[in-house]
Amino acid sequence: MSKKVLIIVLSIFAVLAIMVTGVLIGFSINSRKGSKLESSGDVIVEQTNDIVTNLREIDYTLGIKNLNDKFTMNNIEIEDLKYTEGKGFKRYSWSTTYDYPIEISYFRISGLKNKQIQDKVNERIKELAFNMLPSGEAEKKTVSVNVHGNFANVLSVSASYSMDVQRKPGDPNFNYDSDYNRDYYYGSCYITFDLTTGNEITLADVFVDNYNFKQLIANKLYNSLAWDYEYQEWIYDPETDTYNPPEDQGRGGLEDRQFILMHQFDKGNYSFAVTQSSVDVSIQNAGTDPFNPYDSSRNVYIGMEAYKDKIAIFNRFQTEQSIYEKGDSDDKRYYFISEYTLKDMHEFDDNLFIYYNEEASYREGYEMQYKEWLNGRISAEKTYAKQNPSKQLVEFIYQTYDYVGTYPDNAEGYMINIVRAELPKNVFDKASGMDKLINTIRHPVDTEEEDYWYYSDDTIVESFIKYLQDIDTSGSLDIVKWKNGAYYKYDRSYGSYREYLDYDTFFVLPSDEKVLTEEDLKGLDIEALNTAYNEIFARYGHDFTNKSLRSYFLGQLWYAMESGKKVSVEELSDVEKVNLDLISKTIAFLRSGGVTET
Amino acid sequence: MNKNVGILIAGIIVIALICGGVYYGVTRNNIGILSDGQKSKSGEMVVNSNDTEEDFVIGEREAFYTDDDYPVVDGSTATIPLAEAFEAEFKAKSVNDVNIKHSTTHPAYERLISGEVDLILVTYPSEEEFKMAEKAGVELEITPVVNEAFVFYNNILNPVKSLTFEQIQKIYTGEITNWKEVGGEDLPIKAYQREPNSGSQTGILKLVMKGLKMMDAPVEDIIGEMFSIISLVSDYDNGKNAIGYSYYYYATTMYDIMDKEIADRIHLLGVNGIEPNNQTIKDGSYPIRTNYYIVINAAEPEGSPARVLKDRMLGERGQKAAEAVGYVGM
Repeated sequence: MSKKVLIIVLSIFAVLAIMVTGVLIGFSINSRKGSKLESSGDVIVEQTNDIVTNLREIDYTLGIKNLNDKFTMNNIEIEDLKYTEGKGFKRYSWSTTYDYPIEISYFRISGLKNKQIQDKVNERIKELAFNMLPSGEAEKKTVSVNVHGNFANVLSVSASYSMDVQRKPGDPNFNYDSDYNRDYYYGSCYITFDLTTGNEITLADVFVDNYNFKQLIANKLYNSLAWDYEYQEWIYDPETDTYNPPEDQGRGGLEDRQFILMHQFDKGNYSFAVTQSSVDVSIQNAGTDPFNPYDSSRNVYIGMEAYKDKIAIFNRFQTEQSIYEKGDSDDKRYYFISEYTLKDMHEFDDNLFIYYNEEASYREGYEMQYKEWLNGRISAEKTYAKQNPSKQLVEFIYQTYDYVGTYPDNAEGYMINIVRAELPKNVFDKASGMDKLINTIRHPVDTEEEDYWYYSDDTIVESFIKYLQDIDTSGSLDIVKWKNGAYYKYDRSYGSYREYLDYDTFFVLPSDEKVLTEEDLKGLDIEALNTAYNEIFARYGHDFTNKSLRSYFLGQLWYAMESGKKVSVEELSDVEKVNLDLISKTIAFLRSGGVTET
Repeated sequence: MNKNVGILIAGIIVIALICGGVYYGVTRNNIGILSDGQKSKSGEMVVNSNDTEEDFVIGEREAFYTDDDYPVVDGSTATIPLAEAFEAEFKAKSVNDVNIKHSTTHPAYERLISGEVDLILVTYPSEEEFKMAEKAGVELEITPVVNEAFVFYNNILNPVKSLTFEQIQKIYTGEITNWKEVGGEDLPIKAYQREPNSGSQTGILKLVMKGLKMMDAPVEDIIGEMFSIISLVSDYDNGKNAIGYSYYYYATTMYDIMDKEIADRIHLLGVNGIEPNNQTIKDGSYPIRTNYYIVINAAEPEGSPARVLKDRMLGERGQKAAEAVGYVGM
């Protein structure tokens, strides 16, 4: 082979090799699922049959087709960890738990295929937890690091610290006239991980490319400051008989305060977390005195639903292969409208309708517990309907949540809201009522500004209530709202809802109030009497073993179960003992074939 | 011949190895998801992620001060970034590493007069502040350090692009109530105002109204409502007849008003035909102008820390630092 040929062959080979390498690299990059997400146009339309199959005998065409996309919850396990230092002490004499001078609660995850990434994330979480611990002498320091959002291969973590410092005589703030001499310090921040790499993501990753989210945050920040301003106490000036805006305490006007915080944002003094419903941005005002928390930081919440065509986080870190050892979770959630998806409804004869929306974003454990509760409500209302044949009971139950944790027993993160209306019979038309409800749910807000889901929540309820009031020609409409443990009854003379502390919700019989007679028991079947019998114990918080009783009482709003408590007859009042006797005798009578008048 | 074949084989192997190495090198570094043009910032293990660009390069600047010997500075809210820029520049640090707190204008004057601070960066002293100084026997030495302007803005869809100074006054005294009176469409003017204790409200009273009484804005037009004036004026549906005001520095830094989304919907009104921008503010052609000032005690001796710092702020490095964070230099 001559030198010339050699050079030619080598050159050709080199060129070919370079081309092949370039092509292979190109394929390698493109095969990763990095999608350039522009604003709008990339919404994936997926029709689901879930909703259709759960509806019965109701006009299904009203807004039922759910066009929302779904994302997957992360299939990881969370293990709680706690670090303490110092000797345990009881802060108050009546405390049942011990406090420690230093307590750091954090967690670690497991279940990722890539152990290096998992370790990296866990290291960072631990580092964050220990770095949050404030320095200085204190009676007690606590750090708490928790999961804030856990979905779509993204993990958001919130971390907070608090510090109690006992003031000493000689301290300028020491209050000689008081026993209360404590300073509290607190602070918080967020971090958000991409679980496919273990790296922390930036705010730009949450939104679609080239979206000016700074404007959005500046406006939301203003909203938040103005909201507070609006609800602060205005100061009465007797000379002019007017109320004056609250003292600004040297902080300047709203725009000035917005400016200070946006300047910190520009400097990067902020952190953020994502939940399935909102992007939570915490701007830290690094120049302020941490002891004076006002404006030392400010949270801005951006509702995902209102800005859905600007949000990219649900798709941003998708992978073709699951990154979890157990594979991707079956737990799929709807984008954005999940809390308002009308997924299940129940209907009972013509007296009673219960509509509820199954909140799609909660874990299996709670879902079962919730179903149990709901079945309990349904059977309770069935009994009511039998006893009140001239009324129509409409109940709208919906569930809202603060944010979704990943712990199966994080039930306190949820709120059950019930609107319960007793109407004269045949007034409520199910088709139009349904229509009203669905339309309100699907279009809960009008403007881009009202996107925080709290507002949507009340808008839906109030629309529904207004509808009920409109159709009630008799003026006898009775509406009760139950929200998170308190009753609110509509007071016609007051023109709005007032907390109704004495509301005696539905009892089968007033067995604790008066001695009952056979008259009182007329019309109740065995099932109702059995309930009435157990109701007496339930009022004391009896923990039922029997599944159907348990589920019934859990559905009762007044029922305050004490775990493990078994109420004995001896504990009952004299009146209750007598009634207990009567009820059991009546049940025995009915069982043996006897009949009472209805 | 064998030799050449040997060389050929060796050459092929070397080229293959090089290409293989390049391939693995590139693909290994592309772990994770890349989207064109928007790569997530990886590797940065800090609590606060820093999205912003560096304000200026930290190169071989000379540091004049350390953290221990920087003079005590206070000032107004609007000069916080200015004070940070100066401090960072003169300590040769990044702005992001400097965090300061200002007491706001009036307390800053109090602290200067009492001797608690060396130098303040503030708006021009008011009557009250002059009196306060006089009472304490202090003479204020007031020197402008950067320019500032007071700007009005309306919705981009509004055909009116400029107003005279008198027209602006009349809009806010309530004499002019409709856009058609100033060459626009027949629409009532929605003239939002700010709450009394805000900087911009003080600004409009001092720089524009100059003693003329501002009309009582209808309750819903006073911004204590939920929405910032900018978001109301820029609103697609309802912003067309609105007008708002602020300081140039606020509007440009908070809202990047010179470009991107807001600029699509907001127009900074010209006054007497001159539109506000860095140039017209600097050269004085835009008529509604003011300054931020360095104020020190006139009795400060030659070469005192306050005087030295003042000179540095007015010098080239200081002015460049101020402009880099968005102020209009002298």
